[in-house]
Amino acid sequence: MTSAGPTQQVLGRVPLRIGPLSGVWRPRPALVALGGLVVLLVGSVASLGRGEYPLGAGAVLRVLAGDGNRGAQFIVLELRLPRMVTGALVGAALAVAGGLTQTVVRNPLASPDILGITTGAGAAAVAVIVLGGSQGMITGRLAEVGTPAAALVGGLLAAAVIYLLAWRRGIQGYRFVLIGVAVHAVALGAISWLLVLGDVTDAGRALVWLNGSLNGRGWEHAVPVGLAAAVLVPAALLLTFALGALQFSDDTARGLGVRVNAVRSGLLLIAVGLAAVATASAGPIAFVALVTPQIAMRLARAARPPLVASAVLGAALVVLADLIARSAFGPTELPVGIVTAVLGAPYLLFLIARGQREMRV
Amino acid sequence: MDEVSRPPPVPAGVQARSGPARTRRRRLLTVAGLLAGLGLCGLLSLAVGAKAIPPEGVWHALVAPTGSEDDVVVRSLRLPRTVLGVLAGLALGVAGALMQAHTRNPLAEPGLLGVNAGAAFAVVLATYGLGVHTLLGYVWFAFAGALLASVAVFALGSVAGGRGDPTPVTLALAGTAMTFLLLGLTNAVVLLDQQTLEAYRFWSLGALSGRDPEIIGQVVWFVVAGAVLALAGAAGLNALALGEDVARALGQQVWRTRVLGLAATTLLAGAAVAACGPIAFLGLVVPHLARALTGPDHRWLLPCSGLLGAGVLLVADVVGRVVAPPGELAAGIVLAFVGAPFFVMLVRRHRLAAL
Amino acid sequence: MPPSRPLVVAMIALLVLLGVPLLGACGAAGTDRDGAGSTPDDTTRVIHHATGDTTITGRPQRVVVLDTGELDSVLALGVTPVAAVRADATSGLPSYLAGRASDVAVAGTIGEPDLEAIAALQPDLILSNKVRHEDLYDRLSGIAPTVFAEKVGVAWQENFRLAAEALGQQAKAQRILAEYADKAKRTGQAFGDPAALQVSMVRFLPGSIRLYGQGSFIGTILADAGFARPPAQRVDKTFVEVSPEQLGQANGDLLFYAAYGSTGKAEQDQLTAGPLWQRLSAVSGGRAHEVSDDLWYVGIGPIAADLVLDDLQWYAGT
Repeated sequence: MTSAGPTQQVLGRVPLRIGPLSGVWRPRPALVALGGLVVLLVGSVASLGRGEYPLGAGAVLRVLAGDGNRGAQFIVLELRLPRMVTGALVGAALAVAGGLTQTVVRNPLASPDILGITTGAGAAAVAVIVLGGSQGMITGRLAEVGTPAAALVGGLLAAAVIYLLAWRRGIQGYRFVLIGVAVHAVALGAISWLLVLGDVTDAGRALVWLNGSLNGRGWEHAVPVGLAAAVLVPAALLLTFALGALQFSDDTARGLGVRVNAVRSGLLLIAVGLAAVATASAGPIAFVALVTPQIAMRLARAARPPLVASAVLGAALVVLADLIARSAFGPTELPVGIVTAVLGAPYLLFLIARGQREMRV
Repeated sequence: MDEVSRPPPVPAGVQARSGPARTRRRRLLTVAGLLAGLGLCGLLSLAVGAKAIPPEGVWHALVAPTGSEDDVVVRSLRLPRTVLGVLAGLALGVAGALMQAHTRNPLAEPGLLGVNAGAAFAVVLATYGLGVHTLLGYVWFAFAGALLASVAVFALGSVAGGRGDPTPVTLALAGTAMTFLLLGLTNAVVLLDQQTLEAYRFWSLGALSGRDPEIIGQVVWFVVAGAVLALAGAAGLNALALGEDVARALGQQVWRTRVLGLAATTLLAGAAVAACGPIAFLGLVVPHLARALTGPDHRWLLPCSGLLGAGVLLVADVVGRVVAPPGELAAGIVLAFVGAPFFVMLVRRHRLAAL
Repeated sequence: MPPSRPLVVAMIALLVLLGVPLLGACGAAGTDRDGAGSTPDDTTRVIHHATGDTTITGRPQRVVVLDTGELDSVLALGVTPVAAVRADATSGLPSYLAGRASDVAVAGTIGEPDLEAIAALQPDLILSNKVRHEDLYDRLSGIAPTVFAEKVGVAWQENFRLAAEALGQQAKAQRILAEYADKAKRTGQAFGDPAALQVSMVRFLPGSIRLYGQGSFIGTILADAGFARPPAQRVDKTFVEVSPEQLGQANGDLLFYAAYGSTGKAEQDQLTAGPLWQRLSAVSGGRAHEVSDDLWYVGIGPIAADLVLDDLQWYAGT
């Protein structure tokens, strides 16, 4: 990583040692994370205030402190707050999942989206929406499952299939990606097919879910993502140290004493868990997993996606995108994933066009 | 060409075993075999469908039609979709091989240039804003959308590439970002207007059925032009496969090869998506199969990918006609369901030729 | 260490994006709520429905409906809801109901109901179904008592009774359904012996031909009128899809067809001009009629059913 280009020579590097772990303290990723946090906080207050029933920043804070009339309390605490929290958690989880996948697979195009995990979740959710919808093709127990559970099962199932098919005396990033692409294609085919099976209203509802939507999300959606993030993100951070070695070839990494297969599998598992739980809650919000790590990496001028900064930027991106999605188009609400795509893609294009540095992941 | 040593690891089983003459004969045989196979697929496509028509009925319809119901089915439904299938399959096969060569990425497919997303957005805009409602009417919009998107991706990839060349990675990133952007916009429109969603959800399946025969006349010249351009750039691609610096040292004009190849890809993939809607998996898988047959020499790989693509698309379409009676399954869906497991098998069996 | 330009640009962009909505937030808008109207009785009853039991007191006056079938049902009972949802952002409510529902506020779309708008209207009853909004049930019941039907379309009579129970208007619903059953029977008899007539229902979508089965809204009306159906359409499914090669299966003694939207209309024009359609005996015999898609295929509920029967009676006379 020391060959990472001239920009890094500017940075003062402070060695850091905690118990058996040692690393280099880089101020820039922390700065990016801090900046992202400020944006996230301001965005959150704005998000709690904006809507059909607008409240100023002061009124929002009063409601949060327990004041305010019953109507304002209901709208802020029951509708907007759980929705906002779900969005922030989902954004963070997706961004970390994307950063991990890109680092392990060593391909900036790799993300849970492309690897078929979120697509698998999408196919299962759309199946429940369309087949359990007005056609009533599935009934009884199967229809009772509900979209979040189906999405979770679909996502994990896709991941398991990819992992099993890609395993041949170890996990090789390249084969993992190719199998993932195949599973992605199958799931995508299934989605297209399911979308034309039902009536157009069901197709529309499915498309809303597929784009990633936070409409009507409550605490029951926020809690699972929160729990998953609380367990998996620290685990990912612990493995980050080993992750650095994966930048090199497998042999070099082994030479550095990293148990390549174990670390790689562990990190992918964490990524899958985060992506699957996040997708189950809010649908596959486009682009967050793919691009947030890239943006964080460029802002932090790091050689690989900085995880904490990615998480914070992911959360801020989704919260702000949702604010726009539900308030910028009058009475019409768009799924948040459309906004993340339309906001984030030009930014990535801008970064690419600047060509500030060659992609390194 | 395949004697040129490639960076390790050398892919097993696809390298030449002996002298150039023998390799050449084997490749000619491969092409002949693929042509015969395509002919067979064409016959199959005329003979098999949702409605059972005996072979003599098909023959009757082709040589001496009297306007019976069977004659109408064969001549006005099956014949056009067969021709269209050959054109689109050929286009996607060649375009896929080109894309993988230019990006040096085995995951690359024509959609990576933003072709499909550009076409989709143009079709949706034409439906929503301009009141275009027929597949025939979509063709020009889809083609223009595909063209604009890929030119934008190419330009961005070039700007980012530093030396004025689009590097594989910047191209792939620009394509992905553009695809996300265009799909986001497309989804925004179809979610605002249910009638547009209705048109879009069927268009985006990728199918050969229900196409006006006139569409063939509209896209055939683009496919021909694209194929000619692709073959013209094939030798340059071989040099490029060794890396841009080596190619330059060999006297190749890298930029010229890139422009040629990407123009060909755009023409081919644009024509395919305009005619049939997005058919995603074909351009990804077929070049891998073709490479296993011919090796990495693009002068052989490109035509073989084309022939193989046409055959595979026809078979997928035929399967789709009989698998869900009395309805049909779109060829694009069949390809995903059948092609993907096949692809997985391939990935597990060989180490696919590294690009 | 100077901050990099992308960092600055990103922060500024985000702050600008933030500032716009914040400025808008300053103009506070209260919700105007007029008198709740008279509450005729205070009886409390428990409605058993698809997602649980809901307690309702009296006759709800401020009703929000979140699907077209529910909108049709409450309008049939003479209740004008305070809000309904549209199919999408660009179209209005179903055209056949537009005249009766001109005062109804729009609270989002079927796919994404605007929960804040609904809460701001302070409704006393929300009607929808499990098919469309199961995920939102908890959120909706936090706003007002919510009653969900199990299915859509084929179960329209059951759903109508459920809506009537929630509104405290069971007797009126009973009367409307009895009138409907009677009218359906008379309509069938206007064609002579309806059981001897195979009625085929065809719908054109962009890239798809659908034959509607007995498990659809229109299928129940044809059954109530006593009509027979062609073999391919004697299924409990809402519809079966047929290949253009199998257009022959669309034949019947009497054929009604419609197209969804302009793109479906283009598909219909192309196929109905083709030789396979012209060959159908219903078409060559002049017994194929184009009908309103909004009413026959999109519409669900007692009002739509009544209007379809009016159409059918008209065709009996021709």
